[in-house]
Amino acid sequence: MSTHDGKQPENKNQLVSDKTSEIATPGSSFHFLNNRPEAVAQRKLQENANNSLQVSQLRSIQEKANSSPQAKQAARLQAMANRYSSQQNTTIQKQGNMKSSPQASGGTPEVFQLLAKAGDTIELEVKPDEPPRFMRNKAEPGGGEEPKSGEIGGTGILDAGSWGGLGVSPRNFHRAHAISNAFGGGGGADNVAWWSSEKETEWTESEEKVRGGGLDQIEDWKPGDVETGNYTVTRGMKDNVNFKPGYLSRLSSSAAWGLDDSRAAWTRFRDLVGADSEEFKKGASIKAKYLASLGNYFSKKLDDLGYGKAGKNLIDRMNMNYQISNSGNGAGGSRADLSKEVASDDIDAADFGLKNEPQNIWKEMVAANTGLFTGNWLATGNKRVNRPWGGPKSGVPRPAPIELTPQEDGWGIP
Amino acid sequence: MEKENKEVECLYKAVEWGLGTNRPAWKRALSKALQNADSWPSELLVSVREEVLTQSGRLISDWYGEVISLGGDVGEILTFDDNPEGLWQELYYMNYGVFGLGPDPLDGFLISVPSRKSGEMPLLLSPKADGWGV
Repeated sequence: MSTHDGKQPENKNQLVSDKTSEIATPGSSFHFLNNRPEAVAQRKLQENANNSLQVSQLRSIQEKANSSPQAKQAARLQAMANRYSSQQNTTIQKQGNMKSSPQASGGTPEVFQLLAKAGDTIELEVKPDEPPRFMRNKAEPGGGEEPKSGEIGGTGILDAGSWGGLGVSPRNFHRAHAISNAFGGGGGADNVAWWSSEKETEWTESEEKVRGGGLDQIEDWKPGDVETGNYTVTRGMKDNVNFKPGYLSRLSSSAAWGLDDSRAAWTRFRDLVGADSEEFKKGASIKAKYLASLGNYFSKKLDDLGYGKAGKNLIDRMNMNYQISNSGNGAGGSRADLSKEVASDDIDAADFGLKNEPQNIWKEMVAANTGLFTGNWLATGNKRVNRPWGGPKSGVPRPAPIELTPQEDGWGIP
Repeated sequence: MEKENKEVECLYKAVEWGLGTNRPAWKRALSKALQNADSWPSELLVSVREEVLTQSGRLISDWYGEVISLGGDVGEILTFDDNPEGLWQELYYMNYGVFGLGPDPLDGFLISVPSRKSGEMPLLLSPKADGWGV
Protein backbone atom coordinates (compact mmCIF):
# COMPACT_ATOMS: atom_id res chain seq x y z
CA MET A 1 0.00 0.00 0.00
CA SER A 2 2.87 2.26 0.62
CA THR A 3 3.99 4.74 -1.96
CA HIS A 4 6.89 5.83 0.07
CA ASP A 5 10.26 4.24 -0.18
CA GLY A 6 11.54 5.15 3.22
CA LYS A 7 12.19 7.86 5.68
CA GLN A 8 11.22 11.43 4.95
CA PRO A 9 14.21 13.44 3.85
CA GLU A 10 15.40 16.07 6.27
CA ASN A 11 16.27 18.75 3.79
CA LYS A 12 15.67 18.74 0.08
CA ASN A 13 16.06 22.43 -0.56
CA GLN A 14 15.96 23.08 -4.27
CA LEU A 15 15.19 19.51 -5.10
CA VAL A 16 12.03 19.86 -3.10
CA SER A 17 11.23 23.01 -4.94
CA ASP A 18 11.83 21.12 -8.15
CA LYS A 19 9.40 18.45 -7.03
CA THR A 20 6.95 21.07 -5.99
CA SER A 21 6.79 22.16 -9.58
CA GLU A 22 5.81 18.62 -10.41
CA ILE A 23 2.63 18.96 -8.41
CA ALA A 24 1.52 21.63 -10.84
CA THR A 25 -0.58 19.07 -12.58
CA PRO A 26 -4.13 19.17 -13.83
CA GLY A 27 -6.32 18.78 -10.83
CA SER A 28 -4.03 20.71 -8.57
CA SER A 29 -4.62 24.35 -7.81
CA PHE A 30 -1.41 25.41 -9.48
CA HIS A 31 -2.98 27.05 -12.52
CA PHE A 32 -2.52 30.71 -11.67
CA LEU A 33 -0.07 32.37 -14.01
CA ASN A 34 1.13 35.74 -12.85
CA ASN A 35 2.63 37.63 -15.75
CA ARG A 36 3.97 40.56 -13.82
CA PRO A 37 7.68 40.84 -14.46
CA GLU A 38 8.54 39.98 -10.87
CA ALA A 39 6.65 36.72 -11.21
CA VAL A 40 7.88 35.97 -14.71
CA ALA A 41 11.41 36.71 -13.64
CA GLN A 42 11.02 34.51 -10.61
CA ARG A 43 9.80 31.63 -12.74
CA LYS A 44 12.82 32.08 -14.94
CA LEU A 45 15.03 32.17 -11.87
CA GLN A 46 13.44 28.99 -10.61
CA GLU A 47 13.96 27.26 -13.95
CA ASN A 48 17.56 28.31 -13.89
CA ALA A 49 17.89 27.27 -10.27
CA ASN A 50 16.49 23.86 -11.08
CA ASN A 51 19.19 23.48 -13.70
CA SER A 52 21.85 24.88 -11.45
CA LEU A 53 25.12 23.26 -10.58
CA GLN A 54 23.96 22.58 -7.04
CA VAL A 55 20.84 20.81 -8.21
CA SER A 56 22.80 18.85 -10.78
CA GLN A 57 25.19 17.85 -8.06
CA LEU A 58 22.36 16.77 -5.78
CA ARG A 59 20.84 14.74 -8.57
CA SER A 60 24.19 13.19 -9.23
CA ILE A 61 24.49 12.32 -5.56
CA GLN A 62 21.02 10.76 -5.66
CA GLU A 63 21.94 8.72 -8.73
CA LYS A 64 25.06 7.54 -6.97
CA ALA A 65 22.97 6.62 -3.92
CA ASN A 66 20.64 4.64 -6.14
CA SER A 67 23.58 2.74 -7.51
CA SER A 68 25.13 2.16 -4.09
CA PRO A 69 25.96 -1.41 -3.03
CA GLN A 70 22.98 -1.42 -0.66
CA ALA A 71 20.62 -0.16 -3.29
CA LYS A 72 22.00 -2.59 -5.83
CA GLN A 73 21.59 -5.43 -3.38
CA ALA A 74 17.98 -4.46 -2.75
CA ALA A 75 17.38 -4.23 -6.47
CA ARG A 76 18.93 -7.65 -6.99
CA LEU A 77 16.67 -9.13 -4.32
CA GLN A 78 13.66 -7.51 -5.93
CA ALA A 79 14.70 -8.76 -9.36
CA MET A 80 15.13 -12.25 -7.95
CA ALA A 81 11.68 -12.12 -6.43
CA ASN A 82 10.15 -10.83 -9.65
CA ARG A 83 11.89 -13.47 -11.70
CA TYR A 84 10.82 -16.08 -9.21
CA SER A 85 7.24 -14.99 -9.65
CA SER A 86 7.14 -14.51 -13.41
CA GLN A 87 8.96 -17.70 -14.25
CA GLN A 88 6.52 -19.70 -12.17
CA ASN A 89 3.51 -17.88 -13.43
CA THR A 90 0.49 -19.97 -14.21
CA THR A 91 -3.04 -18.76 -14.55
CA ILE A 92 -5.19 -20.77 -12.27
CA GLN A 93 -8.22 -18.61 -11.87
CA LYS A 94 -10.25 -16.21 -13.93
CA GLN A 95 -12.94 -14.95 -11.73
CA GLY A 96 -13.55 -11.60 -10.12
CA ASN A 97 -12.41 -8.12 -10.84
CA MET A 98 -10.16 -6.20 -8.55
CA LYS A 99 -10.90 -2.56 -8.77
CA SER A 100 -11.12 0.45 -6.55
CA SER A 101 -14.60 1.82 -6.09
CA PRO A 102 -14.77 4.69 -3.62
CA GLN A 103 -18.19 4.81 -2.03
CA ALA A 104 -19.69 7.05 0.60
CA SER A 105 -20.89 5.09 3.56
CA GLY A 106 -21.82 6.73 6.82
CA GLY A 107 -19.33 9.48 7.75
CA THR A 108 -16.45 9.53 5.37
CA PRO A 109 -15.46 5.98 4.56
CA GLU A 110 -14.36 5.00 1.12
CA VAL A 111 -14.52 1.39 0.04
CA PHE A 112 -12.08 -0.28 -2.27
CA GLN A 113 -13.02 -3.79 -3.24
CA LEU A 114 -11.99 -6.85 -5.06
CA LEU A 115 -15.42 -7.80 -6.27
CA ALA A 116 -16.16 -11.33 -7.30
CA LYS A 117 -17.56 -11.18 -10.78
CA ALA A 118 -17.71 -14.13 -13.14
CA GLY A 119 -15.81 -13.84 -16.37
CA ASP A 120 -13.36 -11.18 -15.26
CA THR A 121 -9.67 -11.58 -15.12
CA ILE A 122 -8.27 -11.72 -11.67
CA GLU A 123 -5.17 -13.82 -11.79
CA LEU A 124 -3.33 -15.30 -8.92
CA GLU A 125 0.20 -15.50 -10.15
CA VAL A 126 1.30 -18.86 -8.91
CA LYS A 127 2.73 -22.20 -9.89
CA PRO A 128 1.08 -25.23 -8.37
CA ASP A 129 4.07 -25.83 -6.17
CA GLU A 130 5.12 -22.22 -5.69
CA PRO A 131 3.56 -19.44 -3.67
CA PRO A 132 2.16 -16.24 -5.21
CA ARG A 133 3.75 -12.88 -4.78
CA PHE A 134 0.59 -10.90 -5.25
CA MET A 135 -2.82 -10.79 -6.87
CA ARG A 136 -3.57 -8.39 -9.61
CA ASN A 137 -5.95 -7.62 -12.39
CA LYS A 138 -3.99 -8.32 -15.50
CA ALA A 139 -6.66 -6.88 -17.79
CA GLU A 140 -6.12 -3.46 -16.24
CA PRO A 141 -2.82 -3.58 -14.41
CA GLY A 142 -2.97 -1.15 -11.60
CA GLY A 143 -5.85 0.76 -13.06
CA GLY A 144 -3.71 3.76 -13.82
CA GLU A 145 -0.43 5.47 -13.27
CA GLU A 146 0.95 4.95 -9.79
CA PRO A 147 1.91 8.27 -8.18
CA LYS A 148 5.49 8.48 -7.08
CA SER A 149 6.67 9.94 -3.86
CA GLY A 150 6.64 13.72 -4.15
CA GLU A 151 4.37 13.88 -7.18
CA ILE A 152 1.08 14.23 -5.38
CA GLY A 153 0.58 17.43 -3.46
CA GLY A 154 1.55 17.03 0.11
CA THR A 155 4.60 14.92 0.60
CA GLY A 156 7.15 17.48 -0.53
CA ILE A 157 5.37 20.52 0.79
CA LEU A 158 4.68 18.92 4.16
CA ASP A 159 8.30 18.00 4.81
CA ALA A 160 9.81 20.21 7.48
CA GLY A 161 13.00 20.31 5.42
CA SER A 162 11.18 21.98 2.55
CA TRP A 163 11.30 25.23 4.50
CA GLY A 164 15.02 25.40 5.10
CA GLY A 165 14.87 24.14 8.68
CA LEU A 166 11.97 26.39 9.64
CA GLY A 167 9.21 23.93 8.86
CA VAL A 168 7.34 21.84 11.39
CA SER A 169 5.93 18.40 10.68
CA PRO A 170 5.69 15.06 12.41
CA ARG A 171 8.81 13.10 11.56
CA ASN A 172 6.93 9.92 10.93
CA PHE A 173 4.02 10.81 8.66
CA HIS A 174 3.66 8.52 5.71
CA ARG A 175 1.84 8.70 2.42
CA ALA A 176 -0.19 5.67 1.48
CA HIS A 177 -2.65 4.21 -0.97
CA ALA A 178 -5.82 2.47 0.04
CA ILE A 179 -4.94 -0.29 -2.40
CA SER A 180 -1.64 0.04 -4.15
CA ASN A 181 -1.18 -0.21 -7.86
CA ALA A 182 0.74 -3.45 -7.55
CA PHE A 183 -2.21 -4.86 -5.69
CA GLY A 184 -4.66 -3.91 -8.42
CA GLY A 185 -5.72 -0.62 -6.91
CA GLY A 186 -6.29 2.43 -9.06
CA GLY A 187 -3.47 4.86 -9.42
CA GLY A 188 -3.85 8.59 -9.09
CA ALA A 189 -4.11 11.18 -6.39
CA ASP A 190 -7.57 10.19 -5.17
CA ASN A 191 -6.15 6.98 -3.81
CA VAL A 192 -3.46 8.68 -1.74
CA ALA A 193 -3.66 9.89 1.84
CA TRP A 194 -1.48 10.18 4.92
CA TRP A 195 -1.07 8.64 8.29
CA SER A 196 1.84 7.75 10.51
CA SER A 197 4.60 5.36 9.54
CA GLU A 198 3.70 3.20 12.55
CA LYS A 199 0.15 2.77 11.29
CA GLU A 200 1.44 2.08 7.82
CA THR A 201 3.65 -0.72 9.13
CA GLU A 202 0.79 -2.19 11.12
CA TRP A 203 -1.43 -2.12 8.05
CA THR A 204 1.11 -3.57 5.69
CA GLU A 205 1.77 -6.56 7.92
CA SER A 206 -1.82 -7.67 7.49
CA GLU A 207 -2.08 -6.58 3.88
CA GLU A 208 0.83 -8.78 2.94
CA LYS A 209 -1.06 -11.77 4.24
CA VAL A 210 -3.49 -11.24 1.38
CA ARG A 211 -1.21 -10.12 -1.37
CA GLY A 212 2.05 -11.65 -0.28
CA GLY A 213 5.09 -9.53 0.09
CA GLY A 214 8.75 -10.13 0.64
CA LEU A 215 10.64 -13.39 0.63
CA ASP A 216 9.43 -14.36 4.08
CA GLN A 217 5.86 -13.99 2.95
CA ILE A 218 6.41 -16.37 0.08
CA GLU A 219 7.26 -19.06 2.57
CA ASP A 220 4.24 -18.49 4.77
CA TRP A 221 1.35 -17.73 2.48
CA LYS A 222 0.09 -19.91 -0.32
CA PRO A 223 -3.25 -19.46 -1.99
CA GLY A 224 -5.12 -22.57 -2.83
CA ASP A 225 -5.18 -23.76 -6.41
CA VAL A 226 -8.36 -22.13 -7.80
CA GLU A 227 -8.66 -19.94 -4.73
CA THR A 228 -11.25 -17.21 -4.97
CA GLY A 229 -12.18 -14.52 -2.55
CA ASN A 230 -13.36 -10.97 -1.92
CA TYR A 231 -10.93 -8.41 -0.62
CA THR A 232 -12.45 -5.21 0.73
CA VAL A 233 -10.70 -2.14 2.10
CA THR A 234 -12.61 0.60 3.87
CA ARG A 235 -10.83 3.85 4.53
CA GLY A 236 -12.22 6.47 6.90
CA MET A 237 -10.81 9.96 6.53
CA LYS A 238 -10.52 12.91 8.88
CA ASP A 239 -12.80 15.64 7.61
CA ASN A 240 -11.77 19.07 6.34
CA VAL A 241 -8.07 18.75 6.98
CA ASN A 242 -6.38 21.97 5.92
CA PHE A 243 -2.64 22.33 6.24
CA LYS A 244 -2.55 25.94 5.11
CA PRO A 245 -3.32 27.89 8.33
CA GLY A 246 -0.19 26.69 10.11
CA TYR A 247 1.94 28.13 7.34
CA LEU A 248 -0.07 31.26 6.58
CA SER A 249 -0.17 32.48 10.16
CA ARG A 250 3.61 32.20 10.58
CA LEU A 251 4.33 33.87 7.25
CA SER A 252 1.96 36.69 8.15
CA SER A 253 3.53 37.23 11.56
CA SER A 254 6.93 37.26 9.90
CA ALA A 255 5.75 39.96 7.52
CA ALA A 256 4.45 41.93 10.49
CA TRP A 257 7.89 41.57 12.06
CA GLY A 258 9.70 42.78 8.95
CA LEU A 259 7.39 45.73 8.43
CA ASP A 260 7.31 46.87 12.02
CA ASP A 261 8.25 50.52 12.60
CA SER A 262 11.02 49.50 14.95
CA ARG A 263 12.98 47.59 12.31
CA ALA A 264 16.44 48.96 11.57
CA ALA A 265 15.85 49.23 7.81
CA TRP A 266 12.85 51.45 8.44
CA THR A 267 14.53 53.64 11.03
CA ARG A 268 17.41 54.22 8.60
CA PHE A 269 14.86 55.54 6.12
CA ARG A 270 13.25 57.71 8.76
CA ASP A 271 16.61 59.11 9.78
CA LEU A 272 17.50 59.83 6.16
CA VAL A 273 14.39 61.79 5.24
CA GLY A 274 13.07 62.94 8.63
CA ALA A 275 9.96 61.75 10.40
CA ASP A 276 7.99 64.86 9.36
CA SER A 277 8.91 64.75 5.70
CA GLU A 278 6.59 64.06 2.79
CA GLU A 279 8.82 61.19 1.76
CA PHE A 280 8.42 59.55 5.14
CA LYS A 281 4.64 59.90 4.99
CA LYS A 282 4.59 58.42 1.51
CA GLY A 283 6.84 55.58 2.63
CA ALA A 284 4.62 54.88 5.62
CA SER A 285 1.57 54.80 3.39
CA ILE A 286 3.26 52.39 0.98
CA LYS A 287 4.38 50.23 3.89
CA ALA A 288 0.88 50.03 5.35
CA LYS A 289 -0.62 49.05 1.99
CA TYR A 290 2.10 46.51 1.39
CA LEU A 291 1.59 44.88 4.77
CA ALA A 292 -2.16 44.79 4.26
CA SER A 293 -1.71 43.06 0.91
CA LEU A 294 0.64 40.34 2.08
CA GLY A 295 -1.96 38.16 3.79
CA ASN A 296 -3.80 37.55 0.53
CA TYR A 297 -0.54 37.35 -1.41
CA PHE A 298 0.85 34.64 0.86
CA SER A 299 -2.47 32.83 0.82
CA LYS A 300 -2.41 32.69 -2.97
CA LYS A 301 1.19 31.54 -3.04
CA LEU A 302 0.40 28.76 -0.58
CA ASP A 303 -2.53 27.76 -2.75
CA ASP A 304 -0.23 27.67 -5.75
CA LEU A 305 2.07 25.33 -3.87
CA GLY A 306 -0.82 23.02 -3.03
CA TYR A 307 -1.52 23.95 0.59
CA GLY A 308 -5.00 25.29 0.00
CA LYS A 309 -6.70 22.02 -0.73
CA ALA A 310 -8.69 21.42 2.44
CA GLY A 311 -10.27 18.03 2.47
CA LYS A 312 -9.87 14.44 3.46
CA ASN A 313 -6.10 14.25 3.50
CA LEU A 314 -5.43 12.29 6.67
CA ILE A 315 -6.48 8.72 7.30
CA ASP A 316 -8.67 8.20 10.33
CA ARG A 317 -8.97 4.42 10.15
CA MET A 318 -8.56 1.56 7.71
CA ASN A 319 -10.31 -1.77 7.64
CA MET A 320 -9.53 -4.75 5.49
CA ASN A 321 -11.51 -7.88 5.03
CA TYR A 322 -10.54 -10.89 2.96
CA GLN A 323 -13.05 -13.67 2.73
CA ILE A 324 -12.04 -16.78 0.87
CA SER A 325 -15.00 -18.24 -0.96
CA ASN A 326 -13.06 -21.19 -2.32
CA SER A 327 -9.78 -22.03 -0.69
CA GLY A 328 -8.91 -24.43 -3.46
CA ASN A 329 -6.29 -27.08 -3.08
CA GLY A 330 -2.88 -26.89 -1.50
CA ALA A 331 -3.32 -23.64 0.33
CA GLY A 332 -0.76 -22.91 2.98
CA GLY A 333 -1.81 -23.69 6.49
CA SER A 334 -2.04 -20.05 7.41
CA ARG A 335 -4.05 -19.02 4.38
CA ALA A 336 -7.35 -17.94 5.83
CA ASP A 337 -9.99 -15.28 6.01
CA LEU A 338 -8.67 -12.07 7.46
CA SER A 339 -10.23 -9.05 9.12
CA LYS A 340 -8.18 -6.14 10.39
CA GLU A 341 -8.75 -2.58 11.52
CA VAL A 342 -6.00 -0.03 11.98
CA ALA A 343 -7.38 2.92 13.92
CA SER A 344 -6.56 6.59 13.72
CA ASP A 345 -3.42 8.10 15.11
CA ASP A 346 -2.84 11.58 16.49
CA ILE A 347 -1.35 13.28 13.44
CA ASP A 348 -3.41 16.32 12.55
CA ALA A 349 -3.12 19.43 10.41
CA ALA A 350 -2.02 21.39 13.46
CA ASP A 351 1.17 19.31 13.50
CA PHE A 352 2.30 20.93 10.24
CA GLY A 353 3.45 24.51 9.74
CA LEU A 354 6.38 26.81 10.38
CA LYS A 355 8.35 27.50 13.52
CA ASN A 356 7.54 30.55 15.60
CA GLU A 357 10.65 32.37 14.44
CA PRO A 358 9.41 35.47 12.59
CA GLN A 359 12.81 37.08 12.17
CA ASN A 360 14.37 33.96 10.64
CA ILE A 361 11.37 33.40 8.39
CA TRP A 362 11.57 37.02 7.26
CA LYS A 363 15.28 36.61 6.44
CA GLU A 364 14.55 33.51 4.41
CA MET A 365 11.78 35.28 2.54
CA VAL A 366 14.15 38.13 1.74
CA ALA A 367 16.96 35.85 0.58
CA ALA A 368 14.46 33.78 -1.42
CA ASN A 369 16.94 31.05 -2.20
CA THR A 370 16.14 28.18 0.16
CA GLY A 371 13.62 25.41 -0.39
CA LEU A 372 10.07 26.66 -0.62
CA PHE A 373 11.21 30.18 0.27
CA THR A 374 12.50 30.30 -3.27
CA GLY A 375 10.10 32.23 -5.43
CA ASN A 376 10.29 35.61 -3.77
CA TRP A 377 7.55 35.85 -1.21
CA LEU A 378 8.24 39.55 -0.86
CA ALA A 379 8.43 40.39 -4.56
CA THR A 380 5.70 43.00 -4.41
CA GLY A 381 7.60 44.97 -1.78
CA ASN A 382 10.13 46.67 -4.05
CA LYS A 383 8.92 50.27 -4.13
CA ARG A 384 10.16 53.79 -4.83
CA VAL A 385 9.41 57.07 -3.09
CA ASN A 386 10.06 60.27 -5.01
CA ARG A 387 11.67 63.31 -3.47
CA PRO A 388 10.37 66.85 -3.97
CA TRP A 389 12.12 69.06 -6.48
CA GLY A 390 11.47 72.67 -7.43
CA GLY A 391 11.94 72.15 -11.16
CA PRO A 392 14.70 73.02 -13.64
CA LYS A 393 14.65 76.68 -12.72
CA SER A 394 15.14 76.07 -9.03
CA GLY A 395 18.86 75.58 -9.47
CA VAL A 396 18.72 72.73 -7.01
CA PRO A 397 20.18 69.35 -8.01
CA ARG A 398 17.46 66.88 -8.79
CA PRO A 399 17.14 64.34 -5.98
CA ALA A 400 16.98 60.66 -6.86
CA PRO A 401 14.05 58.62 -5.62
CA ILE A 402 14.52 56.32 -2.64
CA GLU A 403 14.17 52.59 -3.08
CA LEU A 404 12.34 50.91 -0.24
CA THR A 405 12.82 47.16 -0.36
CA PRO A 406 12.87 44.11 1.90
CA GLN A 407 16.17 44.02 3.76
CA GLU A 408 17.59 41.43 6.10
CA ASP A 409 16.69 43.65 9.06
CA GLY A 410 13.27 44.77 7.91
CA TRP A 411 11.61 46.71 5.13
CA GLY A 412 13.28 49.99 4.27
CA ILE A 413 16.67 51.02 2.94
CA PRO A 414 20.04 49.22 3.12
CA MET B 1 -6.88 58.27 -30.14
CA GLU B 2 -4.04 58.93 -32.51
CA LYS B 3 -2.56 61.40 -30.02
CA GLU B 4 -2.81 58.86 -27.23
CA ASN B 5 -1.05 56.31 -29.35
CA LYS B 6 1.71 58.78 -29.98
CA GLU B 7 2.15 59.39 -26.27
CA VAL B 8 2.23 55.72 -25.46
CA GLU B 9 4.70 55.20 -28.27
CA CYS B 10 6.97 57.81 -26.67
CA LEU B 11 6.72 55.95 -23.40
CA TYR B 12 7.57 52.68 -25.11
CA LYS B 13 10.67 54.23 -26.64
CA ALA B 14 11.70 55.62 -23.28
CA VAL B 15 11.52 52.30 -21.45
CA GLU B 16 13.24 50.61 -24.35
CA TRP B 17 16.01 53.16 -24.03
CA GLY B 18 16.23 52.62 -20.29
CA LEU B 19 16.43 48.87 -20.65
CA GLY B 20 19.01 49.05 -23.42
CA THR B 21 22.10 46.91 -23.12
CA ASN B 22 24.34 49.90 -23.75
CA ARG B 23 23.15 51.71 -20.68
CA PRO B 24 25.77 52.20 -17.93
CA ALA B 25 23.41 50.85 -15.27
CA TRP B 26 23.14 47.57 -17.17
CA LYS B 27 26.88 47.38 -17.73
CA ARG B 28 27.42 47.82 -14.01
CA ALA B 29 24.96 44.99 -13.37
CA LEU B 30 26.78 42.68 -15.77
CA SER B 31 30.10 43.64 -14.25
CA LYS B 32 28.76 42.77 -10.81
CA ALA B 33 27.52 39.45 -12.14
CA LEU B 34 30.91 38.66 -13.63
CA GLN B 35 32.60 39.42 -10.34
CA ASN B 36 30.07 37.31 -8.44
CA ALA B 37 29.34 34.54 -10.88
CA ASP B 38 28.68 32.07 -8.08
CA SER B 39 25.90 34.27 -6.81
CA TRP B 40 24.36 35.77 -9.95
CA PRO B 41 25.48 34.23 -13.23
CA SER B 42 25.31 36.81 -16.01
CA GLU B 43 22.95 34.64 -18.08
CA LEU B 44 20.50 34.83 -15.19
CA LEU B 45 20.58 38.62 -15.24
CA VAL B 46 20.20 38.60 -19.01
CA SER B 47 17.08 36.46 -18.79
CA VAL B 48 15.61 38.67 -16.05
CA ARG B 49 16.20 41.76 -18.18
CA GLU B 50 14.50 40.12 -21.15
CA GLU B 51 11.47 39.28 -19.07
CA VAL B 52 11.23 42.82 -17.72
CA LEU B 53 11.56 44.18 -21.24
CA THR B 54 8.74 41.89 -22.34
CA GLN B 55 6.46 43.26 -19.62
CA SER B 56 7.61 46.87 -19.77
CA GLY B 57 5.18 48.02 -22.46
CA ARG B 58 2.16 46.78 -20.55
CA LEU B 59 3.42 48.29 -17.29
CA ILE B 60 4.02 51.73 -18.71
CA SER B 61 0.67 51.63 -20.52
CA ASP B 62 -0.98 50.85 -17.20
CA TRP B 63 0.67 53.91 -15.66
CA TYR B 64 -0.44 56.05 -18.59
CA GLY B 65 -4.02 54.88 -18.07
CA GLU B 66 -3.87 55.74 -14.38
CA VAL B 67 -2.53 59.23 -15.05
CA ILE B 68 -5.30 59.81 -17.56
CA SER B 69 -7.84 58.76 -14.95
CA LEU B 70 -6.29 61.22 -12.50
CA GLY B 71 -6.72 64.02 -15.04
CA GLY B 72 -3.00 64.49 -15.61
CA ASP B 73 -1.75 66.51 -18.59
CA VAL B 74 -0.28 63.65 -20.55
CA GLY B 75 0.48 66.00 -23.44
CA GLU B 76 3.70 66.74 -21.60
CA ILE B 77 4.93 63.36 -22.73
CA LEU B 78 4.96 64.50 -26.33
CA THR B 79 7.63 67.08 -25.55
CA PHE B 80 9.99 64.11 -25.33
CA ASP B 81 9.04 62.81 -28.76
CA ASP B 82 12.63 62.67 -29.94
CA ASN B 83 14.21 62.37 -26.55
CA PRO B 84 13.68 58.90 -25.04
CA GLU B 85 16.60 59.42 -22.67
CA GLY B 86 15.02 62.57 -21.29
CA LEU B 87 11.69 60.86 -20.92
CA TRP B 88 13.29 57.88 -19.16
CA GLN B 89 14.85 60.28 -16.68
CA GLU B 90 11.49 61.91 -16.02
CA LEU B 91 10.06 58.47 -15.38
CA TYR B 92 13.01 57.68 -13.16
CA TYR B 93 12.93 60.84 -11.01
CA MET B 94 9.12 61.09 -11.03
CA ASN B 95 9.16 64.41 -9.26
CA TYR B 96 8.19 66.94 -11.86
CA GLY B 97 5.07 67.72 -13.87
CA VAL B 98 2.80 64.89 -14.86
CA PHE B 99 5.45 62.36 -13.89
CA GLY B 100 5.16 63.28 -10.22
CA LEU B 101 1.39 63.16 -10.13
CA GLY B 102 0.29 59.63 -9.90
CA PRO B 103 1.81 56.32 -8.96
CA ASP B 104 5.38 55.33 -9.71
CA PRO B 105 5.66 55.11 -13.53
CA LEU B 106 8.27 52.40 -13.17
CA ASP B 107 6.53 50.36 -10.51
CA GLY B 108 7.22 46.75 -11.38
CA PHE B 109 10.69 47.52 -12.75
CA LEU B 110 12.38 46.75 -9.42
CA ILE B 111 13.39 43.10 -9.41
CA SER B 112 15.15 41.20 -6.65
CA VAL B 113 17.37 38.49 -8.05
CA PRO B 114 18.06 35.85 -5.39
CA SER B 115 21.63 34.75 -4.94
CA ARG B 116 22.63 31.18 -5.50
CA LYS B 117 24.64 31.34 -2.31
CA SER B 118 22.61 30.27 0.66
CA GLY B 119 21.96 33.10 3.08
CA GLU B 120 23.15 35.84 0.72
CA MET B 121 20.76 38.69 0.13
CA PRO B 122 19.37 39.22 -3.39
CA LEU B 123 20.63 41.66 -5.99
CA LEU B 124 18.21 44.47 -6.78
CA LEU B 125 17.91 45.45 -10.43
CA SER B 126 16.04 48.72 -10.74
CA PRO B 127 15.68 51.96 -12.70
CA LYS B 128 18.62 54.34 -12.49
CA ALA B 129 19.11 57.73 -14.09
CA ASP B 130 21.35 56.17 -16.73
CA GLY B 131 19.32 53.07 -17.46
CA TRP B 132 18.11 49.91 -15.79
CA GLY B 133 20.45 47.78 -13.69
CA VAL B 134 22.44 48.62 -10.57
